[in-house]
Amino acid sequence: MSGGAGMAIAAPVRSRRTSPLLLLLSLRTLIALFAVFAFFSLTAPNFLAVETLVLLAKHVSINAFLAIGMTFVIVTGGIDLSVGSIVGLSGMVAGGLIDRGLPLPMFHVTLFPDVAVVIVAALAVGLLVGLVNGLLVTRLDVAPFIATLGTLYVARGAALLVSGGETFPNLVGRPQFHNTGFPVLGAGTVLGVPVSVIALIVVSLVAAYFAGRTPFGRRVYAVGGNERAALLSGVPVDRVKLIVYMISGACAAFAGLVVASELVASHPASGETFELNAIAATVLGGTSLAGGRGTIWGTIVGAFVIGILGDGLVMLGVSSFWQMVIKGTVIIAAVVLDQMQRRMQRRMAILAQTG
Amino acid sequence: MNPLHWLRTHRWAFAGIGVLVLWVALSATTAQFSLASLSGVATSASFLAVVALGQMFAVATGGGNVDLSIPGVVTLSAFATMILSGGTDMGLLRALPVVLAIGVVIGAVNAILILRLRIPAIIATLAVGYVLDTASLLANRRFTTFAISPALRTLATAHPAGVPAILLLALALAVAVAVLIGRTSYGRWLMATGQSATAADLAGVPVASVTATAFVFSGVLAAIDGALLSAHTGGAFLEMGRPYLLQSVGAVVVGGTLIFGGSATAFGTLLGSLLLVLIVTTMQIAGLPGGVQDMVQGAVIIAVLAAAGSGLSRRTA
Repeated sequence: MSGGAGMAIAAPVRSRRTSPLLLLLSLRTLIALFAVFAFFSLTAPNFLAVETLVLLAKHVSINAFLAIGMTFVIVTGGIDLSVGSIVGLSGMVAGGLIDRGLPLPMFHVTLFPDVAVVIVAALAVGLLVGLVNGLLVTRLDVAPFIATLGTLYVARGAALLVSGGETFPNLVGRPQFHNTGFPVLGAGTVLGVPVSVIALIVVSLVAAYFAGRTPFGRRVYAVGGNERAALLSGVPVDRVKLIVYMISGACAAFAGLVVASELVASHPASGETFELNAIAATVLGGTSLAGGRGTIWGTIVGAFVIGILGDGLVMLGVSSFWQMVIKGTVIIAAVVLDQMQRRMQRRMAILAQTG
Repeated sequence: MNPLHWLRTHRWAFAGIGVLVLWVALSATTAQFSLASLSGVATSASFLAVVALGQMFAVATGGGNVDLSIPGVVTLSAFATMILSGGTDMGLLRALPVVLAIGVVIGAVNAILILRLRIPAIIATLAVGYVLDTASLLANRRFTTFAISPALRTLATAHPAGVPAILLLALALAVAVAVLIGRTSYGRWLMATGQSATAADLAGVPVASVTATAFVFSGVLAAIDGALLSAHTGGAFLEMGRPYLLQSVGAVVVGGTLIFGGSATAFGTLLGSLLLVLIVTTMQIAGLPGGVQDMVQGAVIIAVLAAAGSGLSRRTA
């Protein structure tokens, strides 16, 4: 549990005396990761096979993209429920541009943009939805969960409109239009490592750098730690909030591209209920729903715990109902443990001051 | 009296004006909007109002509380009704206790997650909703009959003197809720809790039980709605409760209940439900595709909250 406001309380305590229980609590996500990994290695046949692990990493990467964006939002004390819809919308925008192109009736032509342009366009759509979320929260003072619940519907509606509810199948592009290559994102490999996993490594490094080592990152923690104090010490609170929702939108749009590319098709309902897994990974990784605390690395570990749990339970043939119940229990346990840790840290901080 | 001040204290008036405007516009522009379609609008609005009145309890507890498990409860209760009743009135007697139990248990689970484990209501109820959806998925596999108990069918579809029975039910419910909120100590406790849980607690209000009861109300009303809805639509299907996720919250806030709690109006929620259904009907008559309908509903609710946020002082927990 390092980073931002939590650090100020935790650091001096740790130097004097560290309770072993507190140490265990702060490492709980890593312990959970080893526990689920060990459990499924022993119980699920073929769990340790290279193909299984590669597939697992690909599954995790999609949720991890969403969760990285979500971490920024939750650290400021907000929430983004629209990410699942952005996944669907971004996939539909990309699918539409590849399958049907961009018709320009006034010139009687249809443009088929290059795949790179398609990707940029889909990311721009995600940024746009994030911008709307951010403006609603900062300028119009709408509660984040209502604002993003509203845009959840707006973005899902837009995704349905792109195709009239149809699926865009077979998104391989056509050589004569020079728009081939979209499946590389989801199915390609470099030296045997899937492109989406490489993308995850790059995105996590960039996100961790911004969260931990830049003035922007400090401001994100400051806004979530104490908004009023941040405002009074000159942090542009509204701009920070606007940017975190845009980051979340872009991350979700990228996840949508990976999903569409993996399936080589885009469906308007794609991404439904993804928001819960993203929130789960974030909370599991030690990010406080109250804001102010959380790390990108914690979130990545959280995403792996959720992913291993999900894939492992499927491999063991556990019914979907119990999968949901187990995941729900894990999330609740994560929140309860987080509160325990906070209470202990507070108590030890008081002890350190008085004693 | 200053009309602006009156509007600010009677926020349901906005929904009322909206209903009137759409009503006049629809009657004037389309021949299709007849007395028959009016009854259809009233029926849809009544089904929405039942869940929205429950949602209103959850929202009124304040602190940004909201019940997002309503769609899951509606769907699961519809499946339970269909499967357990087997299409007979005797079966319905078997199903009803289960339906009510679903509502009470889910409401209680939500309350425990929120109050004991201090998980934000939005996350807790969303997660519970997904678990319920998965339970419905399993129920769907056992689904064998489309027969509906005659008694339940009568309640959900009859039109005594041309008025839908379900409308009378929703009106009666709204009156009961209005009395509960406005004339009982529970109502005053609920508003006190919503305005400031800390202050209410210091004043001796049993904050935890008041909040828990509100979530149980929400669960039970959603469960009853699901049972009635299965009789009205002639069966249960997956995601049948889904539209109520946004609409239940929407009807509550459009009706003038404050999203941060502490003030609630049953009459406004009724009007809010009517307005949302009228908006959807307008779009259907205009032949707009489903995608646009989703977008407009999302936009209307955001717009109402944005207006409320800038016009009224917002309370944060």
